[in-house]
Amino acid sequence: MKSRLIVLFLIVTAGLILAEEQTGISVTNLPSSWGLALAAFGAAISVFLAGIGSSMGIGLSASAAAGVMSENPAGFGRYLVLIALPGTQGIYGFVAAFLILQRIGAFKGPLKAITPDQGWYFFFAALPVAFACFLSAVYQGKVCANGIYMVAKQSKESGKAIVMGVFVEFYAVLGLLVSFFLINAVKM
Amino acid sequence: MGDSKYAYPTGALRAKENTIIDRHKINSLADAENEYALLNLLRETIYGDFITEETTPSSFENILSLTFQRECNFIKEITPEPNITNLFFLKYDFFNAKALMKSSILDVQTENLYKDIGLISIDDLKSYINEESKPKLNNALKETLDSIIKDKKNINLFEIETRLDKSYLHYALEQSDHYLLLKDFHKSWIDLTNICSFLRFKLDSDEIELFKYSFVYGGYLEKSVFLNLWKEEMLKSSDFSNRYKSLIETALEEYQKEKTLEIMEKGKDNFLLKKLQNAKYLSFAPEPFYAFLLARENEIKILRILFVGMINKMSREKIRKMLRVSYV
Repeated sequence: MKSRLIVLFLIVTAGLILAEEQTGISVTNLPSSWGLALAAFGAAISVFLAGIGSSMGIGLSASAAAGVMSENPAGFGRYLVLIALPGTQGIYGFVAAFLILQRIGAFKGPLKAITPDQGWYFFFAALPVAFACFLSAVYQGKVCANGIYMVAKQSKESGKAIVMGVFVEFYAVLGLLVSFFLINAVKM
Repeated sequence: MGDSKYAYPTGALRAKENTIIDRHKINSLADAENEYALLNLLRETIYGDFITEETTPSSFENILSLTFQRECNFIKEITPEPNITNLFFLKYDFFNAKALMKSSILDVQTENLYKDIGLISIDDLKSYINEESKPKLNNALKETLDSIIKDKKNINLFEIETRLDKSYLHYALEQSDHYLLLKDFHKSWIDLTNICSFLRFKLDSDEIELFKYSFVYGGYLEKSVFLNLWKEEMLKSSDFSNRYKSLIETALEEYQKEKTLEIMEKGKDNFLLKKLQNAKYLSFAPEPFYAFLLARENEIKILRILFVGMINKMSREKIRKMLRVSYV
């Protein structure tokens, strides 16, 4: 997982350097039209990473539940919350993207004129929710899968399994909160 | 993402583990009035699928082997790492090979010994040993059988068994190199095999050359440890390793009283099963699948002891003494 994140970071950095070399435009001195693009990129990346994380997390927990139910079909209700729990990060990513789009006027009237500085600010404001949700959803998927295995053996322990999953959720909520404050702090 | 391939199979396995007979149930089975009551109690477990109204206790072997066969097929279907679970099935190929070689050399019938849960069918193995055809075998098994067939005229049963045992243990250790729990399990298995041979040859026959021949490399205990101990007049459990101290202590005490090392076999089984009990806490790894097979095999050994003991009217105390620990 770490190596994949490093590869992703290197690809983005290399892309920026290449773009700078090809166009002769520095990332710190972009034309004004790039402000909007950077803000939109921030919105996109928060949905993109949080969505991928949630899909991977749910994929893991749902597979675990399917495996248990293949041998013991009873108890779907007990596993349902544990299956769905890693899905919340995708929603947080969507909320952050929605806030950015709202701030740049994507829903009402013409888009606002945004400077590259403001664009960068929106982009970085999206990163806490994007990365916190991506990683927490994957790890929450693992915790929920283990919770499902525990409930498969001890059917009365589903409450404890959910609480363990919620601990991982906490850090995704922190990511969303920081992104929320940062997005709202951009002066327009 | 490596974990995702384990999520579904591990879920199915966890649900299946609930069918392993726990120690409380084993106690109640051991308390059964007789073999008929034992059979009735077994109806409530997964073995009940093969027990009909007409089934009698004398057909217990059939019930046990059909259930084990079904459990093995279940693991073969769901395992995400066949190369690890195949180590378990390969053990039966080596076992069958020993029985077939014995049959071929001594010209005796060993058909009742074969276990048809290996990776290769008995017929294919038989035709390979009789040099009638060349079916695809595991490399370690093939090399060992080839060497035995080559020396067929000058080899005895002890050498055949030893060569096959050593070959299997070396191969299993090599294959489990990247899996800490299984590596530890196989290293302990090698040590316990060496300890068993050492005690047998030292206490029963004083044949150091036989011990040297049967020694399996790869365990935690070096050969020199055993060779130095060979000179000792009185063996003490502390001479070996703290790891096996209590096991050897019990075996030596038992040998003093009964002049038999049977308890060592039970101790070995219990020790190895306990080693793999930690696999219950692994979620995204192949070890739980191997451990489940071992647990089921152990459970079948327990049931066999109960049936044989009750059918032969052995005392409860003696039956209980032979029982292995349960995985759960």
